[in-house]
Amino acid sequence: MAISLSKAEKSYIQAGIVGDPPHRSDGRALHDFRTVALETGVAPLSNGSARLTIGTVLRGGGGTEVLAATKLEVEDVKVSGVDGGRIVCSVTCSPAAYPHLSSGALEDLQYDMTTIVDQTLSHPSLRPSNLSIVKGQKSWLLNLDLVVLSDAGNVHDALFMAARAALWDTKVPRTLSIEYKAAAANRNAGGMEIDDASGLDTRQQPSIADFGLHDFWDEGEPLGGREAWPVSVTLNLISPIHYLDASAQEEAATPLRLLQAFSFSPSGTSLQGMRVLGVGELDAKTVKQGIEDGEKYAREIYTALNAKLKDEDVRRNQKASYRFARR
Amino acid sequence: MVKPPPERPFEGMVSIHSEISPMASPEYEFGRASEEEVTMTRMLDKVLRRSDTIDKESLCVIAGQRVWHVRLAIHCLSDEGNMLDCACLAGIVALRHFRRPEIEVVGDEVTIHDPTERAPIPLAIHHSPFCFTFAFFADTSIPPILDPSHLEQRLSAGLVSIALNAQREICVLQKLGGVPLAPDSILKLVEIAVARAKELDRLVDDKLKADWSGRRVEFR
Amino acid sequence: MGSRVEILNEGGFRSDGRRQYELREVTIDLSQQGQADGAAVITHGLTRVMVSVFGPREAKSRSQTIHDRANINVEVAISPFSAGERRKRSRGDKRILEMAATIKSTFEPVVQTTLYPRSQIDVFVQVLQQDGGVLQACINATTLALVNAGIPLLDFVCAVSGGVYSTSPMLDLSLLEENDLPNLTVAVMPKTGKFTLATMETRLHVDRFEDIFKLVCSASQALHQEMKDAVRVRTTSLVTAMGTIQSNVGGDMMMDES
Repeated sequence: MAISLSKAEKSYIQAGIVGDPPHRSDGRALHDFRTVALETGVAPLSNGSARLTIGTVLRGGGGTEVLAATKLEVEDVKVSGVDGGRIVCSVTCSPAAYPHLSSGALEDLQYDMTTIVDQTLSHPSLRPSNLSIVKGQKSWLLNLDLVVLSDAGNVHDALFMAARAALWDTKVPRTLSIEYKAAAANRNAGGMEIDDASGLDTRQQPSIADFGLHDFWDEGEPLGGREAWPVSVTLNLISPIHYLDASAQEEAATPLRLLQAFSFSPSGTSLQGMRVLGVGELDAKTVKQGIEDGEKYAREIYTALNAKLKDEDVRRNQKASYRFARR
Repeated sequence: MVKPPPERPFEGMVSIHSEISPMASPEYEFGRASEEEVTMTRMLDKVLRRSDTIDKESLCVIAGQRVWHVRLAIHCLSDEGNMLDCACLAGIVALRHFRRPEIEVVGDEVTIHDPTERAPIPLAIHHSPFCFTFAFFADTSIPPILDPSHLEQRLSAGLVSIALNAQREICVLQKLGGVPLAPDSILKLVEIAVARAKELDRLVDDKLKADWSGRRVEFR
Repeated sequence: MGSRVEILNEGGFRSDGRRQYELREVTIDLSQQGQADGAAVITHGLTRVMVSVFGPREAKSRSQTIHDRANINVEVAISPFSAGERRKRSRGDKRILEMAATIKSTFEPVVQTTLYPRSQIDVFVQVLQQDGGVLQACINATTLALVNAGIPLLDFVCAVSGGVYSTSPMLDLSLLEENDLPNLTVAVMPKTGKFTLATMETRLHVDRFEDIFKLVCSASQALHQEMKDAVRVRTTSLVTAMGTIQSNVGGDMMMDES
């Protein structure tokens, strides 16, 4: 939380939200989001990236801004990886987003956010099908890095949306798996290249498995099952009602928030993560109702986000072909 | 002897550890790395490691499997100003003085000969950089001084460190902030440092030779 | 390493199609970022750095206050995805600490800290993409962000990097060139022509050093013009937005006029 509020301010904001009709400082209805702006492909050195802002037009400043990017690394399954690939997320907060926090507090905050995002997204149930390179030997390690550039409230939803966009944008290089079975006498059959790329000691293994890139110029294919990446919605609870997309001040005035991450796939909707943020108690009925409402909101976000992401895909392809045509 | 990192299978490793303990001067705290320490460690790293002082390929025993790892530890015992130059000099002399045991490679087998069996051999050193630090003062009428003492360093408004070897090659030049300088003045300093480096190089050569011949007598 | 790539070919072109003394394209964005008092995003070719400045304001901890001037606090963060190979650097990384210390000491004599005793100026540097010349980008962005925040400076600080390929000096190195060549970065205060920062790594002959050093100093003048223009454009648009377009504009413009 970036700011501290006085008691009077808090009760003023709370009274406004609970009141009938409800009043919010920026004139939104309770279940309205601020403008969300999204751009993909912002970091050219990554495999997929996105910049997401809530609250202002892109590059205008003043809102919540998150940068997400993925990077793929080849991992040896036997050494450190998991067969079929794995995903590791990490969240970094720019000190500019929380200018009032000391570096220790910032580190704690980063850790909290990392835990929430990582536990939700790295779960095997969401793992894309094409992160494996050579079965039982090599797989991709997908690093998802999120940077919070500024926080004006509702940073968790922004993180999940940015993560989803970056993962959507991620292209996995197409690979061919190659297996070399070197005869004991003819050790050099594999040639230099394989030695270089694998770093495996050919002397210990009669056969080595490796891979080649299908086409160097091709960026690759999207992650499998990218529809399933979850969207999150944070219900800000001021008994007896809840509202969405709190600004920084509203967040500071809200004692309890319920974060839910839903994954929508053709086979059905699943709740991938849920957190109660803040202090206080929550009765079971509210939670039940919350999940029901949360799913409804999340589905709206999901539909809107998907439409935007598809637009972005089209825009980027157009840009590339336009550039190509100009040459 | 260690396994080399896969991206550089033909090169040995060199690592430098330096530590400023409160023993050197009461100004330094224990545990936390101070700004001076960071600057010094980085500078030592640049002067002694990144400028290819040691021929890393000569430290390779079996490509991709076994290489030498040279560790250089520098402890600062007392700080009376200009610790960096002193540490650099100590580091380079130590590297040149060091003798590693001789080895023999037959197929995949590596034999390390005990120093009593075969005379250890020196490291292959490309060049010997020496570091010179000049202090500047806010009052521009005072000329820059070489080798500032602790008090002078405290009063100064900027330091310039130049590391170069006797072959007139600058290895590292570093002026991190401080009072702004005219471009010509730095060129003058470089000239001074060049002359000093030659002197120092001769001195180090002589001392090492004297030391080495002294040791040879012991062996007989 | 890059032996397969020709750094400077016979026609006098570099690997990215530039001439020997050509700088990469510079773009400067001075628009508002988050809650910062002043911010700047600068790109040198593919290198991209964002700097936010907060302050002068009350120091976070009392131990950081200096009784007769403002304390400049610099924090550097390098995005893990900014380079070709992913590498996460923690806050305590030596390279990051060194870079922060370098930026801090570069600006200490330039910022008029004596005007704000007992306060703190925070400079947060975020490296978004790196393709050589990260330090120069950080310094240039910091200058612009400080100007944008309305903090009085004695002068601009313009940094340019340079290197020498066999005997020919080159300016503004890309990552590929930086890895292979002796390189130096110099930060110049263009008005006086004096420099506050100079760092060089890897071996270079003294006579070559003189050439490249002078060249870099003159290149910074060109960059100064670019930065000045950006500030002027930004200030003009602000003044227009406020609806008070007059001939005497105060604040930020003061430095340009002199």
